Amino acid sequence: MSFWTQTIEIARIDLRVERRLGDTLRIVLPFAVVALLVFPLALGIELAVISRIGPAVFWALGILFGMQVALRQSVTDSQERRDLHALAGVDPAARFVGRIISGGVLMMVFLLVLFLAMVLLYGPALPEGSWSTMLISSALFSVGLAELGTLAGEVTTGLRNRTALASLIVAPLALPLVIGASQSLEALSRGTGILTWVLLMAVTDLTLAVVGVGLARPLEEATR
Amino acid sequence: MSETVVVAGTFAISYALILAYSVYLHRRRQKAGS
Amino acid sequence: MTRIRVLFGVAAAAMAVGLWFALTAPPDTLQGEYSRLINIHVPSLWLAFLAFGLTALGSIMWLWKQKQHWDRLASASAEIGVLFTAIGLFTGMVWGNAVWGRAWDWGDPRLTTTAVMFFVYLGYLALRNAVDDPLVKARRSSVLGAIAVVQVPLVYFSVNLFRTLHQTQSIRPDGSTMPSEMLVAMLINVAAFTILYVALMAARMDIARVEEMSREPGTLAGDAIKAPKLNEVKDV
Repeated sequence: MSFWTQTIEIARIDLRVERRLGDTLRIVLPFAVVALLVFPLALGIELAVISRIGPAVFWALGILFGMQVALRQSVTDSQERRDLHALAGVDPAARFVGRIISGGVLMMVFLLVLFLAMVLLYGPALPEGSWSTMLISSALFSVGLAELGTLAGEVTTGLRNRTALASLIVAPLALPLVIGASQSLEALSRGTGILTWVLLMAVTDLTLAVVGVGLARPLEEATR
Repeated sequence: MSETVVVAGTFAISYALILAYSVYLHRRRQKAGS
Repeated sequence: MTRIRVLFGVAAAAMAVGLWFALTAPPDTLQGEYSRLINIHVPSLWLAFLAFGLTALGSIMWLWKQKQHWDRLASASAEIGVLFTAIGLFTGMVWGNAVWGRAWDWGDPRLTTTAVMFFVYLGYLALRNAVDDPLVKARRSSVLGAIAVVQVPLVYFSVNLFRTLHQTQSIRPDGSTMPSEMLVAMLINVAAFTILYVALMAARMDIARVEEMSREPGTLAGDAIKAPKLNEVKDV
């Protein structure tokens, strides 16, 4: 199997496992929507303020809950499965990229549904071009978070408190993604270009991809 | 709180942390070496 | 062991000298006694970044050469780095609050990056703590160290961009209004703290070495295969 065939196959299987057994869209997403409800209630009910903080709250929740998507249980590999992959000659880099694809797809769905919920609940004033900006920044955000999540997930494979530890690892490093994504929407409101922020996220994603692929083999050995 | 108290307190806490860590290292070395 | 004692002796002396200068140099006219905090704040942050750099270097070198002392360098530096990052952030917040009325400055990318570094260190140490085997420990944490090397500069860059576009000027006190004696004192303390760092590193790496050597040996590769007893082999 070629590198890309392996990659697509891994992504496909991942998504299928998630569809059958996963809790990402069934539990994490509703949980995030509940969190959307918590914020205005905690902050008081000044409508003007609520509509202004909508996008910011969205991205904050996006990262916090997005991490759970990236670290979903369905990508926890048992040692047997990893050994099977190794014996079958699965390229660890292909597994990494495959995971990014499946994670990215799940994250995109998660973000888009959450965004819809935010728009309904917070009623923000969205300037011209918001939806296309949202699409681009969600895509880049999703890929980046999937990359970080996959890396953190692999590094913490088999350890106790895995999800908490991996979240601790991902959160600070994901700052460029949070800044890029939230600022791209704000740039629209201000009238300045979104290019800077899109580039920031794209560079982050690219860097993480290079690092991830480069470290794929050491990671494979590391998690024995 | 007066200026001097705050500054003195900050110095004290900072140096105490460094000292505490050094003592911790010393104890850990003794335990490891035995 | 004596080498470490000597290092600590020198470090203690240097720190004492630094402290003396810190407390006797004439204070800044605007900030008053608070300006003395520069003698802890700046050296601590200098060490935080130095330590972080060495953790990153140690991680990458371990991935490349697989020599255990690189991992010891990385982990010792991370532990000491946490300490000085904490001290740096603490003194910075006291200083900022006293002089500028705000403990935290969102406009300063160095501050946010330092906070991020603190949590990266914590994550690194937490990861190591969750593993028993030194080799597995080294493998996993070196990967994290390598990831952090590229991500942390990106964090700095992104916060810098944020600051530029929000036109928030940094309110962090810098040294430029300070009397030169205080700046000299600061430099003396930077040197003293660096010597302290070397001493702490030597001690911590020594501890790591001794602890690794006295460990119960773990499973060795190939243990699952037992050599056949010759008189049991019937059909070959």
